[in-house]
Amino acid sequence: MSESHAPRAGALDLAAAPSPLSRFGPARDYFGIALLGIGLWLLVVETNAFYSSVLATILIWTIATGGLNIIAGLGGYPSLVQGAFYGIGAYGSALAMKWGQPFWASCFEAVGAASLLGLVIGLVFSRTRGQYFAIGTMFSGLAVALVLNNWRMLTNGQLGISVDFGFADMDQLNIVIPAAAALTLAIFRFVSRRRLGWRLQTILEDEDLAEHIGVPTARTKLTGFVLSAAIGAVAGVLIGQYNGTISPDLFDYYVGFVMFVALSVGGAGRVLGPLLGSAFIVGIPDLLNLSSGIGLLIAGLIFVLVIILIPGGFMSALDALVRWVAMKAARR
Amino acid sequence: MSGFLEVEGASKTFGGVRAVDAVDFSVDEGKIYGVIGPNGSGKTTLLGLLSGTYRPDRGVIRLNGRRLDGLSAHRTVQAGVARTFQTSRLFYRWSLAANLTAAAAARPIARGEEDHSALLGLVGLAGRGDAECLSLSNAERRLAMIAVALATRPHLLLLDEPAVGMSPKETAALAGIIRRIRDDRGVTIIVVEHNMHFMMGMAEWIMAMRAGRKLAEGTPAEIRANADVVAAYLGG
Repeated sequence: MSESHAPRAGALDLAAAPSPLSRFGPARDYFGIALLGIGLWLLVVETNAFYSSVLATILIWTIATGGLNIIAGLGGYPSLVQGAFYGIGAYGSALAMKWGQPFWASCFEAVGAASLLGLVIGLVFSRTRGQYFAIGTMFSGLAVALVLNNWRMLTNGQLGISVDFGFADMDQLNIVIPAAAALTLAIFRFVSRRRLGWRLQTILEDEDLAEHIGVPTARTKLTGFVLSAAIGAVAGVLIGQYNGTISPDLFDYYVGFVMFVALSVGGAGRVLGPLLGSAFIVGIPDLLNLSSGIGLLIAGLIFVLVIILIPGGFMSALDALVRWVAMKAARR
Repeated sequence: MSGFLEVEGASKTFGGVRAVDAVDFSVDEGKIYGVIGPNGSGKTTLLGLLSGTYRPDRGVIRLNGRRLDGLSAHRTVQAGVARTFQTSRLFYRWSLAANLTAAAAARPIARGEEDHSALLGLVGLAGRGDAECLSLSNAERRLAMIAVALATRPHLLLLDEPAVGMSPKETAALAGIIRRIRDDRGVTIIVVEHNMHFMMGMAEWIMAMRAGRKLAEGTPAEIRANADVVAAYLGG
C-alpha cells in the first residue's frame, strides 16, 4: 500500500501519487541503495579496465548530479554552475595537498571552498528565478572556468596539474567511489523527506505560496544550493584522485549545463535520476569512444528528445512501465 | 485605544500610483471585518501590506502590540497572520492533505498532529483530503485555500475576494463557513470583496475604500446608507 496520507512531522511524503517504485518504506529504500552500491562496486572491480573506468566516471558524475538534484530536482532551480563546484573540489583538494595538507584535510578544505562559493553565488542569484537563475549560474560557472584556465600561477593553465594520490591503493578508491555515489543517493533520499526537502518542494510548486504558508524561501534555497555545491565538490575530489591529473577542460563552463541535462534526462527530483542520467550522458559517449564535441551534440539531442517525449525523465518512463506491467499482471 | 490589529498611516506606492494612501483602521479580536471598494481602490494592496506580501512605504501595523510592518511574508505567517489569494493558489500536484500538512509544518510553533478532517469539515470539504488539488472544482479550490491558510493556525485570517467565480448558492454557503471559522477557531477575519450583498450579510464592521484611501467606516447598515459609498460604487 502507499504510505499514509497523514505523515509524521519531519517525515513528510508530499507527493500526491507516490511512484510505484517508491512504495516500499524508507528502510527498504536505504537497503536498496546499499545493495545498489555493492553491486556497482562489484562491477567496478570485476570488469575490465576500460569498462571499470567508464563506470567510475559515471559514478563520479552521479555524485555531482546527485548533489545538483537537491537544488534543481527538489527546489526546481535550474542551476548550471554545478560543474564549477566540481572543479573547485578537484583543484581545491589537489592544491591543498601541494601546499602540504594531508589528503583528508584537503577534502574538507575543497568542500568548504565550494560551499563558500556556493553561498556567494546563492546570495546573489537566489533572488532570481527560472531562466534568469539559469543564466546567472551559467555565467558564474564561466567565471570559474576562466579562472581555472588563466590563473596559470595557481592552476598551470590548460596543461593542468598532477594530483597526489590520497588513498592506500586503487582498490581503496574503487570502494570509495561506488560508496560515495550510493551515499549521495541516500543523502538525497533522506533530505527529500526532511524539512529542507519538503520546503524545497513547496518552492518548486509555488514559491509565493510557500512564503505565505511560512516557508523561509530565501534561506531554504540558499541551504539547498550550498548543500548541492558541497556534494559537487566531493565529486571533484574523487575525479582528481581517479585521474591523477586534472585540467580545466574537465570543468569547462558547459559541464554544469551537461550535468543539468544528465539530471533532467535521468529524472530530476528522483533518487535514481542522477545515476540513470549520468549513465546515459557520460556512459554512451565514453563507450562509443566519441570525441567530446560529438558526445555533447548527442547529449543535447537526447535532452531535447527526452524533454519533449518524457518530460519526467527516464525514471518517470520506468514508473509508467512498472504500472503497465502491474496492470497487465492484474488483468490475467 | 489599543485594538487587536492596529494600522496607522499605511501607505504603498507602485510606480507613482498611491495604491494605499495613509490608511488608518483597527480591528477588534474575533470580529469579521469587511473591506469593500471598486476595482483599483487599494483593497488587495492593503491586504498585501498586512500579510507581508508588500512592505509599506510608510505607516505602522501592529498585531497584539507587535510590529508587523517590514516583516517578510514567512515571518508574518509565523506571527500569526495567514492570507488567501484572489486567484486560487495551491500546491496543485499534491493532495489536499499534503497541502495542509505542509502549511501546518511550516510554522515551527505548531506542534503535534493536526487533525485534517476537522479542518476539512470546517470549510465544507470533508472527505476530500486525498483528492489531488488539480481535480478540485473552482469553489472547492477557494475553500481549500482557506483550509491551507487555517492550517498555519493564524490569529488573523485575510481573505482576498474569497467568492470569486462562485455561484450565488456557493457564495451563500461561503458566508456561513466564514462565520463558522470565526466562531469555532476564534480567528479574526478580514474579508476583501466587492460583492456588497455577500459582505452585508456577513461582516460586522466594514471599511469602504476609494483610490487608496479610506472613504467610510461603519456597520453594514451605515455603509449601505452612506452617500459617498453609493456614489463611489455607481461611479459618481
